[in-house]
Amino acid sequence: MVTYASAGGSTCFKEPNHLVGFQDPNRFVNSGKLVCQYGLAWGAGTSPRRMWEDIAMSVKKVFPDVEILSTINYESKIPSLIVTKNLSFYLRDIYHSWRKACFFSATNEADEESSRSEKHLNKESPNKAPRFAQEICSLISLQPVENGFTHPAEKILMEALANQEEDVIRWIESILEDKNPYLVASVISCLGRVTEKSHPAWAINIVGEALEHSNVAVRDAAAQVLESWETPQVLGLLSKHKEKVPWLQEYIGKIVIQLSSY
Amino acid sequence: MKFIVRKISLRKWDPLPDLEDDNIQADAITIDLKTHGNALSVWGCESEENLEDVALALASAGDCLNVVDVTWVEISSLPALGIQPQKTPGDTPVSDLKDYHLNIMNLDMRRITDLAQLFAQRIRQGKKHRRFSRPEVKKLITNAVKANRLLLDDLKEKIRDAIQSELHN
Repeated sequence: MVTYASAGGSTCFKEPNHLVGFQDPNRFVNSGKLVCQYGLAWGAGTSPRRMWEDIAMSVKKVFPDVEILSTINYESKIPSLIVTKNLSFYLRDIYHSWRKACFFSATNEADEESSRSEKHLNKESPNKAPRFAQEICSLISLQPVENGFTHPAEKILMEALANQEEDVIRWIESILEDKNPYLVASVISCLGRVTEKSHPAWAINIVGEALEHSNVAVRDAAAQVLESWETPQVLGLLSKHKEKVPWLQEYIGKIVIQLSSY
Repeated sequence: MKFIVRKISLRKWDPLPDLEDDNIQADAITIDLKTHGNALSVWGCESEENLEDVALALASAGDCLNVVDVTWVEISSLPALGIQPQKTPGDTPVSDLKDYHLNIMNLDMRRITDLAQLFAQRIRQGKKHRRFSRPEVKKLITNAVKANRLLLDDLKEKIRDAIQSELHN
């Protein structure tokens, strides 16, 4: 029998009204009733991606009206399953329903194995992304950052900035090198929003760097942030930038004119 | 109404590099053309001069001020795709614009792809997309408040604060 098991429970986070995430089935069993207003995230450190596809199909059979949003990657490229539904439910019931339906079987042995793998992962990855970074990346994977609407990652970023600014700066600087431009653009947008009134020098530097990124989505996100800060301080960055994409070039030209009038 | 207008994010409509020239990013379809109940929400307008009203309807329904990107196609081009928009009340605090909202119902994979291709063609021709900058959006909302088309209290907090300070300047 193929045994499916979740990872050893490294992540358990709750964002009121947005997300409740678990990785450890034992927490389902032990946690009793939990109100899950937005979604359920389930991840595994050692399991193949195919497993998650199987679970996605199984969840759909047991809970036909549950929407499977997507699979996501945590910082260590762990495949995860995201299930969303706007209602409250007993996580314990879901767990047992899965087991009963023979769609999901978690054994102590597999859990121990996952736990060992996780310890290994931590030992091998001393530069593991900080907790706030994991949460921000997860939230961005769950829900795109959309113009006109506040994103739940903004709150995490704002809290992290208040408590561990140095770590945040280091992380955002490093995220500019990430291979996923969608993630980079989203983080830059969130950064711009949470520093809209203060726009500190380090943020101006990072966004200035993002403006020179090879991907147009990142450059666009950076340009929008610079516009939103409404400060002539950023005029130099915009003026020296050479944009090749016509619509972005036009937009940046517009911002330069706007900011010059302040 | 002559056009249907959809809020998009322009950056998602550039073709992906290293693929064929006319490719459409998956994000353009799965995020910018996200459907609910197989229906796509769009706004109608009589002419390109009325695009400002669409931007106003969209921006005033949000909770923070950002640029608004829109694209549009002629309603007359839709029947050939088997698409028929239906009037439904729009989610906007601007009461005189609520009736300009449309839903494109019963979208299946073929129809949403056809629609995406139509939008992509228009956007890439360079003439059927418009970006309203943040100051432009702020001005549209401020003017609507001044003209009593919109109550400050109907705006979400962040936007309300921004418009309030604009009114005092």
